[in-house]
Amino acid sequence: MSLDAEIGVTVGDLSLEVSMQARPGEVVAVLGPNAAGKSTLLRALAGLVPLDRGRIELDGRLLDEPSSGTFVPPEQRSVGLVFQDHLLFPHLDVRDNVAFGIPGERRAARAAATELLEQHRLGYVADVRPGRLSGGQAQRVALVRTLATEPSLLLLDEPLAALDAQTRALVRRDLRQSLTGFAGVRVLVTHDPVDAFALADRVVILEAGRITDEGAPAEIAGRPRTDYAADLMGTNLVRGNASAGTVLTEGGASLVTTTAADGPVLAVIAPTAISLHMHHPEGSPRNVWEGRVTHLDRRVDRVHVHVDGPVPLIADVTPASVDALALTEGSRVWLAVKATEIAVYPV
Amino acid sequence: MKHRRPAPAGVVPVAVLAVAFVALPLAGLLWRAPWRSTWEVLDSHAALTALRLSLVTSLAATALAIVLGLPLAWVLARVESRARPLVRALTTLPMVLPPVVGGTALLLALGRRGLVGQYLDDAGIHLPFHLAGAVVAEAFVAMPFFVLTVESAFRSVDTRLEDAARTLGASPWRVLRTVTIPLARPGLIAGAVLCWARALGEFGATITFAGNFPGRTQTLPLFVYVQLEGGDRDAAIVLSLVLLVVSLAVLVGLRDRWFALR
Repeated sequence: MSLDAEIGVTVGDLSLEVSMQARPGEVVAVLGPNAAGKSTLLRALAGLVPLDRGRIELDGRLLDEPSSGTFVPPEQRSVGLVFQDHLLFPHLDVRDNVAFGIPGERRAARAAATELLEQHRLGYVADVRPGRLSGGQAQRVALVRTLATEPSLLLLDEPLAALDAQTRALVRRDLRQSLTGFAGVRVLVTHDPVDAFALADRVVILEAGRITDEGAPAEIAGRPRTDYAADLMGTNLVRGNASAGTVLTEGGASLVTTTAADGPVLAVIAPTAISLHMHHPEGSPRNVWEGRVTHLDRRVDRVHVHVDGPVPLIADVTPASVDALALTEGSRVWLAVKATEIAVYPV
Repeated sequence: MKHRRPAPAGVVPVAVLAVAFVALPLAGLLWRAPWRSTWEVLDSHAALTALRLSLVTSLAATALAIVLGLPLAWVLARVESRARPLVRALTTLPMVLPPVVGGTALLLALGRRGLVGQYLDDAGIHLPFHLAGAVVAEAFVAMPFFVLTVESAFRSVDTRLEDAARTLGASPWRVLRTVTIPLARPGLIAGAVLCWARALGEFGATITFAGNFPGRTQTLPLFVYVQLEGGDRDAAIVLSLVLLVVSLAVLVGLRDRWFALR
């Protein structure tokens, strides 16, 4: 089961132009900031928003093509959509919610729903109305309800976003198990890279209605192409021009690297590869400069130190070293990065 | 501790007067009620006939308002169009229109020589001065109560639940039947009850369009008026009380809807 889509939709200020292909059984994660068009993309695939331009083909069946006047309504698409806030029907109990999408005689559908719920270890909530479920239970029921329709394409719109951290880990594990047993294409929309990496074979970065990067999760993490992607992966992205191993940055600084590339490049510097010093450090680091601390972002066991300078960077250090260096916002600090720690790749 | 706001001088006495203004006429009705002969009045042939006619016409008018008003309410709630305010204004006009004007308009449109009525007459459908005419007159006046209440009930249903139902394989008709209507049910019931209460009390449009024929188009309000004018005063009072009790029952029945907010 495969997906081949060229999606062109204009909704209000958003113009979405996305080309999307997926192989049978593939899990694609769409990552992007708010209002990038992620939900609109899913709604277009589901048939809830008709295309203005382009075409959608699923398993060789044309679903939407404005140029030929083809439009298959959502209920005939075999496309399942799981929403962020589950959208279970409040007037039906869990069993009837799941039975809703199972065709055929009602009593048989209800029996099938009960069986499905038991398979997903949710049999104990079958008689409960959605209003009495926890967030995690509701989201798992919503997934079962959609899987019950046996869709060819499964769309998940931020399925974990509305859950608290602890529930999220549980539901993510559950989701991964359920998704493994699903044969069709799965498209997962999220703004959390953890979800994308835990669940996806391929990651698509969507910004302002356009795909800005695409690849295996490891590729995206190692070689982000946009500031958004770099930020998402928690790393520093520097643009510049490479020549004889040295990268001249857009800000006018020189980075000594080990690259053989020539011309416009992107350089990634991991925050953990940056060391901070009170005085000009001695020894081997090839890239050393002075900067000013603009912001300290304290996490549980790490501190992200934002440093302005010839190359604005975020360094990731321990709380102990922040104390040892007596860092506060506004203090001067020396940064050092080894040439071997800078990953450089052509734009 | 409750916060007290001092009332501007004179406001409270006038407010009390306003309550008395509404309550006094009702008290008058109770005061003059011929309690001893109540049962005889209710048991009389003429009164029973008017009561039966009123029940039949008001229920039929409510049914008509539901059949026509449900699709209209859905369109007003769900179809984005620049014509919507105009359509809503037009369909709620009978709420503010003097009923006698409504009756006159109905007569000119559906009467024997009316705009549409002449063709209806040829087809053997007679509305003016017939029972069906009373139903039409009541539905004309009462339908806006149903439409407005149901429109707001439809609006309160999350359209994304309808989207979810579509992706689960439900056709638009099935979505309406199994999601939208069940979720809007309290509003649908309230709208139907309000519509029925208004139809039951309809006077002006009915007498203008359907006339005042005992046993055919003389509904309870018409009967009360006729008796008060020169017939059996006691009957008029007792039947007024019947209508008052119905109104109170409607108020009590819908109290959660209107008085839940404090």
